[in-house]
Amino acid sequence: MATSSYNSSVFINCPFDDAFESIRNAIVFAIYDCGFIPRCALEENNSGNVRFDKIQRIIAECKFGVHDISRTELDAHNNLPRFNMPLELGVFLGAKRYGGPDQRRKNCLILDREQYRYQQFISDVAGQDIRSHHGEPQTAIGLIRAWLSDASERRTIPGGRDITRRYQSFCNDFPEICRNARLDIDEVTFNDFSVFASDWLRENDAKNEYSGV
Amino acid sequence: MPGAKVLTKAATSKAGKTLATSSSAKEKSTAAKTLAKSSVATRKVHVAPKTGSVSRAAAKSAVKKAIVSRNMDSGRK
Repeated sequence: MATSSYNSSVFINCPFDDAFESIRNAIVFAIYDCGFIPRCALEENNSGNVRFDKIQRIIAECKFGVHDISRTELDAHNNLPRFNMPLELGVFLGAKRYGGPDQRRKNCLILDREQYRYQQFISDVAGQDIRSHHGEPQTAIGLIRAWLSDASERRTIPGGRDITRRYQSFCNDFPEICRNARLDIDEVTFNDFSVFASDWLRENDAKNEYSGV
Repeated sequence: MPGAKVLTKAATSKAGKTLATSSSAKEKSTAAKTLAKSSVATRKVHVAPKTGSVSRAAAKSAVKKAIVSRNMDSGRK
């Protein structure tokens, strides 16, 4: 039987480079603000765990998955495609197809930078709902919100513009949060960001938010 | 949430019906705001499952201080 943690957990499969950080941070924040828990391979730094084992375990623990395949492109050094993200998407879809009853309830959102680009490198995925964030955090937030609302059928999820307003306010506070925590912004790990975003949302009650935060 | 008005289920339901049926833009706007408030008031923000390089207590304190500082700044303006 699924735990409440499984039903609220969202696996994030996305690029880990700095260029993608603004989209990744917006996705993490939006997931918390919708009332879910973002999970990601970056949450564990234990080098003793084999990376792929770790990813498979986290996927098994998440009902939902956001798969951003926008970085599927040729590597500048060796001219070979980067396929980690499509591979993890395949594991997620495989678990949904062949897993037990809870795994079969899995639901995923696939993001790319252009809506139909996937047809050129992963056309078998046609039939899945693939959306484009155009590299804009605000668009990514709206897509995450709309998908989680539909997929979970929860009626407690705030609107996309509401979440965006809170995210902008959080971004304004973020440098000071880092200073208070004695961290440079470029030292903030996925787990640090995750704790800051969750704590910030919990601290700001609805009354404050609607008075102009 | 001291001082915050708690929305009843009936009020939320009424707002939903108003939003669906009313032709008045003002009524729709008020109903939409009611529903938005209800969403934020009832959704549960989860605690982050794992900590990073900062302890949970230090992170909480850093966030609280930043919010207090921002509120003081906006009070001065």
